[in-house]
Amino acid sequence: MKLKRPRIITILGLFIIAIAYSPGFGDETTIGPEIPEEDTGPMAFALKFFSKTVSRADGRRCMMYPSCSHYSGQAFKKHGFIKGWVMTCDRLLRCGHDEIHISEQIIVGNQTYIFDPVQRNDFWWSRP
Amino acid sequence: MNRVFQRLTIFSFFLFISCWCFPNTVQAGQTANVDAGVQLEYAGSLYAGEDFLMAAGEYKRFMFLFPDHTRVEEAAYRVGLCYLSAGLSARAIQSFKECLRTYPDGRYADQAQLRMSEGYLRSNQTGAAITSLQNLAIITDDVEIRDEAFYRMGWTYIGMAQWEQAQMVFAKMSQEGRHTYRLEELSRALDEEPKMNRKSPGLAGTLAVLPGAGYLYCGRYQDALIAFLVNGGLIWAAYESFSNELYALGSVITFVEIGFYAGNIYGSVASAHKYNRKNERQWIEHLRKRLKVNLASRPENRGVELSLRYAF
Repeated sequence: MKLKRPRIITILGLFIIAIAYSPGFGDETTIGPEIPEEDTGPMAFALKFFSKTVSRADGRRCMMYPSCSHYSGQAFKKHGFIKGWVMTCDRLLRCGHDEIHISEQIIVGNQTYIFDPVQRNDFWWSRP
Repeated sequence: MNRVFQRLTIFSFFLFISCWCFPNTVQAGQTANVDAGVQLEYAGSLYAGEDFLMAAGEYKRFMFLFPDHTRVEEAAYRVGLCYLSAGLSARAIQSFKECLRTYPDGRYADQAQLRMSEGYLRSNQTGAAITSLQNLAIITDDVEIRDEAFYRMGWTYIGMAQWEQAQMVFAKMSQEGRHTYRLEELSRALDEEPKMNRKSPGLAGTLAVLPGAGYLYCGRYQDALIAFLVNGGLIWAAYESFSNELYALGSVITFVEIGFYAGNIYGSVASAHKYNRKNERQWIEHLRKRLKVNLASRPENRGVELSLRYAF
């Protein structure tokens, strides 16, 4: 039993590293709409912390527009915690893969991004 | 000296007389006599040169300078047309409304109503565009205008992927209109719609019970692999945590996993919808290029300008 604990910690550690270095979690606060200041929920706090602290340290790596953290903030704001959380997970799974070949490109500054806002993922059940 | 003084006096006299007899304006050079026709012609030339905002200003000047002229209604209509051509849909709609309010039974009322619907469409107010066209189809006595209203309404429904509604509206057109707008070919193309390649959102969601299978069904192979690995890894980690009596860790991982599992199902359903929407848009664009009759809105053209395209 004692031998198994380090294995779990290794798996978890690898998972956290994979998530942290997945294309979706790179971010930059200067691009895309900011997470609204009036949001005071725990998720908004976590996203603000991520945008202002983690993202500034490791730079933007997300190739989607809006970036995954902004997308997440918008999804939480628009649909509440449960749907926002599900949409965030969906976006993290899709970020930087097949969406590149499906969605249109958008140029922001000198960079090209894949345009994938919340309304392109909830149009089939939510009115703007 | 006396002689010089005498000549100066005579010169001054003639100078005074000439200044008194001829008005100052003549002395200043040419004058421009702007009459109503010239003003309208100038505004039209600005429009033809695609200086739409200047043209709108000149049409407004015409309305201000010649408020009782017989072509004031035309100028009011063309103000809206200028804004429409300039891409200022909201101002165009406002101008057409103003024109319709002032001249409800005027010569340009039908055209103003048509263009107003175009403005609504450009600003993505499809409901208002359809209402405007419906009103026009009811009010107008002109069969051609009614046909055009139905034709535009039908294409609006096609743009919204409401094929049956479009067919119903096209069926209301006159026989001549159906021929002019090549509706037989369009109706045949609309009947082909069910053959269009579609993905079932329900099936995608059901398949997503096995993580990644829903994405796979929608042709998203990379997303499918990532969904399978992430969900598989998290389920395994949660299982290992609980079997090692690490309940707090197991709960956190389970919470995260529930999100990713639900996200995988949600994403699969959304992917099917996106796939269908993309196909629909491509098909509509194909139809538009192949079969849509262009309806011109240049002020110098009265009525409808038809241009047909044939795909060989």
